[in-house]
Amino acid sequence: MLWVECPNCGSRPFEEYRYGNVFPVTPDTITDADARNVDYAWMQDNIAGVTLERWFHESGCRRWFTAKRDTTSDEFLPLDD
Amino acid sequence: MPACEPPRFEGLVGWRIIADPSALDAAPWPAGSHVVRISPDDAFVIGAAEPGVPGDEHAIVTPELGFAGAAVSAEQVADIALHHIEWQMPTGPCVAQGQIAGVPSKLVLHADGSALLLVACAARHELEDRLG
Amino acid sequence: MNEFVETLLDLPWQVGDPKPAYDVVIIGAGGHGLATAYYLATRHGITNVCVLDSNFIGSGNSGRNTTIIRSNYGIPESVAFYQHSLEMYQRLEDETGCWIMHSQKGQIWLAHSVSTARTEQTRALMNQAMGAKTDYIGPKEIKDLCPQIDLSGGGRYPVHGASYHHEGATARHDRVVWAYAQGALRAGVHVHQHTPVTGLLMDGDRVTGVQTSKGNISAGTVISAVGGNVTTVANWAGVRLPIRTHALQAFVTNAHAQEFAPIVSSNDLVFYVSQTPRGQMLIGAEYDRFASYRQATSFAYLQACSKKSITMFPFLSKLRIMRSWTGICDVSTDFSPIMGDTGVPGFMISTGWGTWGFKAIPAGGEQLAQLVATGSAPLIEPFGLDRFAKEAAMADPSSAGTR
Repeated sequence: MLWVECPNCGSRPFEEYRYGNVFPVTPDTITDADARNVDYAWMQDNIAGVTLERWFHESGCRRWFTAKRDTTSDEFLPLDD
Repeated sequence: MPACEPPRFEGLVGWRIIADPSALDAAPWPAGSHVVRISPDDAFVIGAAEPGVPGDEHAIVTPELGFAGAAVSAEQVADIALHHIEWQMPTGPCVAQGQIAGVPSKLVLHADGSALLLVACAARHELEDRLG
Repeated sequence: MNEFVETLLDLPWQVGDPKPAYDVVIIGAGGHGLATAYYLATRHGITNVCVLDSNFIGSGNSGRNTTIIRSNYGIPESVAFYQHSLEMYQRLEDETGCWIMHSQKGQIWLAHSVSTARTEQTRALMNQAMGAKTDYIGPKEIKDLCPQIDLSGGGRYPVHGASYHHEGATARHDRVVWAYAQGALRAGVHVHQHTPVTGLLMDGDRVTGVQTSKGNISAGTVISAVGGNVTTVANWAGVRLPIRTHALQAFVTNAHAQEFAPIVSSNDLVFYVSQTPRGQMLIGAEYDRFASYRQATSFAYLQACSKKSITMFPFLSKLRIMRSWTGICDVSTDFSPIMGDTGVPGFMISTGWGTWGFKAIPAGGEQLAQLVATGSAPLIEPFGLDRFAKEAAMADPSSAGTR
């Protein structure tokens, strides 16, 4: 069972959540404005490893929060802020 | 078969307040009111005339008729936790939110172990069926 | 040992190291990689080809799917492409001489509401216009085709109707991979298993070969036929992809003695059921909603999927789940595949196969081979990576498991 830690409600099974994808990051190497828009709209970093992403606790407090997860193990990691 | 009586829900009339978290922390709730903190910036207040939030002039205060509630005894809470909750139940007083029998619900836990079980009105009968 | 396995043992498997140079190097020896090599060699005489895989052939998503072949997609370009692939599958046993256990079953796509009934009617009309055999049928015809169905859907999901895709079929996944491997090897293609590619060789902007665990290999053209890990390969060449990797789970039950003839999917409940040649019921649904590279199965999925399928097919509740598996799918942001040039000279790609890659193996391989050999493949032209910049994304709401 995969558990996700909601900062408001605590640890809950992942089915209680909606996945909101990673923060989109368009590389600085893309400079053309149109190309940046295309990248923002469609392209994905699709990182195999640790990502910062948004989750929504749909069955609980109904709030979005940021989580750190390793996509190769689905392990959630503590946020260091 | 459940060891206890299933909860009996009734529609609740209250206020929903979206406001700055620190203003909600400091708000002078009317005497006799019951405050369910859904998230840092979101509260459901029962048993009061329209509450004010002096610390946040942009606070949204609106009538909330969307929840049904049932008073459940400590024994019923223990029974629900055993049979219908996958997650770790905290000890009260606090608000525990998550799926109960697969239905998004909230348990407002009191210090003595009893609680107020809240569910969206639209899911009330589903939860009743599943707990019954 | 059976005759089939003995045939495989006789194949000219490559031992030792790959040659230092090939005309074409294909990364990934799954269905798409091997089919591309097969068609390069057999249709275009390009035999100086090497297919590399970090594991054994067909060990990725080619071995982790639900083996459904269909062409009832939702946009004209897709219907044309998948219909071509479906017809190639029908001829594949004759062409390769390999028994891939191809079995035409027909696919029923259920609608439980007026709005999805409209979706299925639209699908049928669109399919007919593009040459795929799909009709809209009513509950009585559905019951005739599939007596096991509960038309009331447990009282909650009554069946309004369905689109019926006459040529929907299944084939044995590893036999398809082996058929292409065998054909490619016999035509002179090199297949090196257990040879991970660790990087690309670049000369300026151009890809000139691959780095592998067995040394560098230079190549006129490098093709990525990698599944869930495609982003890693594309990053080496500096290519940005509209791909997110998601896990797709499926499972089989123990054998069910009765025949279950068609493939049945549900538009509202999102699951699909078919019966394997061994009688097991094969059940799948949506890919996991969150991105993941972990090939893990989850109890929550098995539970949700069982519940949905039992709603329509009560007899399934008497069966047990025997085996489940998970593939990590390269899901494109418009739910259509991406084939062809990447904008980087010497580097081509076949990706975005999400949950619809198995059915596309013959046409995907054939068309990509044609593009490499002749520079033109009209059938897959709409599926280029450049479509996003051209504001010509191929958003397909009818890809399985996507909606």
